[in-house]
Amino acid sequence: MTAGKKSKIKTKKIVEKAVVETKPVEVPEVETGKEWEQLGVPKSVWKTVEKFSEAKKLSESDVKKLMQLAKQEYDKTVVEVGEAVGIVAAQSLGEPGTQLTLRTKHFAGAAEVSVGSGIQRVEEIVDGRSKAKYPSMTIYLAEDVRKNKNATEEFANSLLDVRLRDIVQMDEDFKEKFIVWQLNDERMAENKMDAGKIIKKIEKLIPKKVEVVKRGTRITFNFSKRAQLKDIRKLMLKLLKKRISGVSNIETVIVTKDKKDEPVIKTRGSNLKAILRKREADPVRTITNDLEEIAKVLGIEAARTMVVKELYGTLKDNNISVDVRHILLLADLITFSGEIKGTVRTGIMRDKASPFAKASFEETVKHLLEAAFYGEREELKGVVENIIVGQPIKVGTGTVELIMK
Amino acid sequence: MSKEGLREKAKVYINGRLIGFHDKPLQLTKDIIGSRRISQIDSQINVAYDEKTNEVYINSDSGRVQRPVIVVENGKSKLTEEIVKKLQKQELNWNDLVEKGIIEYLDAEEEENAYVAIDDESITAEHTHLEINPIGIESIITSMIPYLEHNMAGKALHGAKMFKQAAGISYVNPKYRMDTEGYLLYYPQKALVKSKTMDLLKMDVRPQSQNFVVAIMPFYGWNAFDAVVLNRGAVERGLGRMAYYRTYDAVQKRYPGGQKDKFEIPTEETVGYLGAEYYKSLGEDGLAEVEAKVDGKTAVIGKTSPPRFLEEVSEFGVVKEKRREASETVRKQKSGHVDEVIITEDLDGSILAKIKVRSDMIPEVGDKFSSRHGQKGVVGAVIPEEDMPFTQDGIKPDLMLNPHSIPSRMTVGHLLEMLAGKASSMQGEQIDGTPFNNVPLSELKKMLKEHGLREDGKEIFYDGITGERIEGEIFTGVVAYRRLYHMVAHKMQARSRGPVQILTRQPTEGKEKEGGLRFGEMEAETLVGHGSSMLLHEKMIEDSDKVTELVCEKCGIIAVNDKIRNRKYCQVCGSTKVYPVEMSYGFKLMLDELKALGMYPILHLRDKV
Repeated sequence: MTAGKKSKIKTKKIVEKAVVETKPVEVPEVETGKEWEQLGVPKSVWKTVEKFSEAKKLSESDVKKLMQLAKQEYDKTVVEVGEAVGIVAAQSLGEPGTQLTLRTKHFAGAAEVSVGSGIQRVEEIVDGRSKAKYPSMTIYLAEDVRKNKNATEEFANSLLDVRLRDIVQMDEDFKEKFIVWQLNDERMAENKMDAGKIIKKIEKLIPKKVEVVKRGTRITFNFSKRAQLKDIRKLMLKLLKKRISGVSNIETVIVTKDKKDEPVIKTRGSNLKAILRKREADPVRTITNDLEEIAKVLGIEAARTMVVKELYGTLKDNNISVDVRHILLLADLITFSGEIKGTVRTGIMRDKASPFAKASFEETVKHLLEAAFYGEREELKGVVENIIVGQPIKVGTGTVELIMK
Repeated sequence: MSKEGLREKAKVYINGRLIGFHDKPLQLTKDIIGSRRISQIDSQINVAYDEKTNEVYINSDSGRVQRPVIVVENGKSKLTEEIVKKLQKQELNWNDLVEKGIIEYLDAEEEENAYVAIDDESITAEHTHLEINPIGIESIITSMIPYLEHNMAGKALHGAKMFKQAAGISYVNPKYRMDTEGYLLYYPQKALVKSKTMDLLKMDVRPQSQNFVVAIMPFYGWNAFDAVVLNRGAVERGLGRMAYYRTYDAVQKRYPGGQKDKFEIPTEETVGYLGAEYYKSLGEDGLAEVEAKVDGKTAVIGKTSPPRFLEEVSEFGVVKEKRREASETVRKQKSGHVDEVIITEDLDGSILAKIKVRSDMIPEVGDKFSSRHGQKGVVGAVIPEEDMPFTQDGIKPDLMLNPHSIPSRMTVGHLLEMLAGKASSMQGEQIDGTPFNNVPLSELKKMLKEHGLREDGKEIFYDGITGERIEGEIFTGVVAYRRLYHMVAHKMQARSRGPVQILTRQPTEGKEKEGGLRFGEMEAETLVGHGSSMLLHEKMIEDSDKVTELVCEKCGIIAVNDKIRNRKYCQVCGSTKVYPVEMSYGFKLMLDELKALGMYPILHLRDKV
């Protein structure tokens, strides 16, 4: 924080001099990136300068000039003291938000997984909702799998969450106390499953006291005459829910190609933890759009990055360009507490210290009463608080105060 | 029948109620329509089959909108030339056509099954019906736009919308009507270019437009951005002039106890007497005299009410009743002359007075005009006649329209109407501009040529100020323009100081109350975004409800200033250590309300500097 402040103050001085233009601009002579870095210029800026100079084969003095210019330009973009960055970010994100469509994109057929886009998705991220409406994963593959088309297909199919109820048709006879399961050939073929294997799996699941009769793809369970109907029902329903292959929550699997023409697996439904454990998946690049899950599995920093990526991507898909810095600020706000908290009254608003700020947002009476119960103190440091009491806000021209000597 | 069987059958509804199932819905529909066409069942019964849901809807109830179309069978219109001849000889009439199934009425639902051809030529084997006239595809209002088929669809909508806002003579008994608000164009004219719908609606008897000589040319920037320039000479001759009527009323209410309101000129004893000047236009009956001038500061109906509470009986037992002032006044900023006064009874039998006030609305800068093609504009300037550009024949346009209004909006109909209007005024008769079926451009050109005018409708103009010839030729013609009822006089408003709300001491809202424009939450945020802290403070506090309250340093609560004893002290602890603090009255009010809820908001003070 302090380092940032120092650089900001320095920045101001340089800019002022540049505007006057009576003396040549004083810029410390630096050549290597290290020194640049000490001045607070980020790596990306000086790396670009270096790359450019190398490519154009500039002379040493020219490189210096270019670096000076780059430093100047960079300094111009640094936020000044007292700038209301929060409001500017909110307005910059809010105004284009009015152009977002309410429409959800649905892709015909199985060519693409439908993902909520537009205002729904933005709202989901900003409000920090724990359940995404269209959870989806993009699974990158390990090198050997990626190159083998069959292996890719096989891996994709093995991910699909298949429960017994998906492939079994059940007929119940409660009078004679037996139950017949008929395996659905079509469904099995769809999921490339072998009937023999499945029957074996089923046998393992069945308690020993039940008699199992197999006939082709038809299985009959004979229960003892004394068995309670209730128990039979319970057992069967429990069995039907059993997973026989795949990863839980993965509903649809599609093999497509990404922008660089590399085969990837897209899924509807998400289970990051389980997928990352698979040998066939590339654990570095595989992602999900379920932010909560990322925060749980990979940590809050990863979730922050994903918030930025998702928001920026969603806006870009709708042909809206917003400066990343606004989104970065929002992402910081959402994740700085260590967990994902939306910009709603149950999220970051709850953590605010000022009772007036909370009261002016939502549930006015509740917050005022609470403040009275606990004898809270209003420090009048924020914007709304000062507007309420009728004082100049401490932003922009209001940042400075007079001191009597 | 099994449930499965029912699922395949079509459901049949009569007036929205499921009454049964049918195997062959198409045949059923066909049969019903067939028997309607031979008048076995009523002509107003409609039947429709929805293929998607496999449902048949039969409707016979009231409230459906129907429209007549000619029946087409096997690609041939049933209205043959033979029948047309019979019609011309008046051997047949409309009802006969309906009875014979030549014309039938479709409702919205049956229309979904129909395929209606626009005209005879476009009939194919697939068509089921034929429009009686192609304008049938347009609404009543839209079909009043001449040369509509040359316009962009959106502009037709615009134009149609503004028909409802145009002033004219929209009724035959204007003198006897006491509308709360009403508009009356002084010199309405028949539109030179008309459509058949206008004939049917008798728009020539109750017109709502005037024929303006329009030149499509810029005029020193006064008609930029959809403004129009008017000729002051034309305005003074009555162009676009109209009357605005507003009716005010009052009732002589009866109160329990035999007391009554009274129409009279209030005397000086009346509680709330407003001065002689206020009642100057009232006659001795308490009602304004006809043709008396009234404005926002004069009463139109003088009324007094009995006292709200009975006074104590004085020593001598005689009490003079102190009546209250309850007069009715003309609305603020609306002045005019009393047009009509009537006295009648209301439903309770109390005496009711109604006074209609008329004001002349002379076109001025900011008033709105529109042609029938959605080309609306606000008056940008009213130019003295001598400064107006003129043609070689000495004709000065009534209105100058900016050429930029034309290309992007593609209202070619407007241009055609200009030509047709010009031809019509030379010919001396109205020209038919009915959509799809009008006098063609070639004909218009011929007419113009016959009368010695240029075919392309262009004229050579001379600048009225310099007398120089204006470079380029200017397209000029006659268009029916309408005065729309949006007028600056009724909308203009400004405020610097003014009334405030009692509770919050913030400025009032709304034009009637001389209010300010709300500087709301989002507006405040923009100033925060710019870092304009002091401006925001000025807008929210100084220009609004700023107060300086005394605050006790010890208790942190609002203290008082006892002006009689000249003492400033805290009412809670009695301390005189109280200091003035600037705050918004809204905040002070909130503190009071918190106190009323049993909370104790303490203000901690600090030196400002």
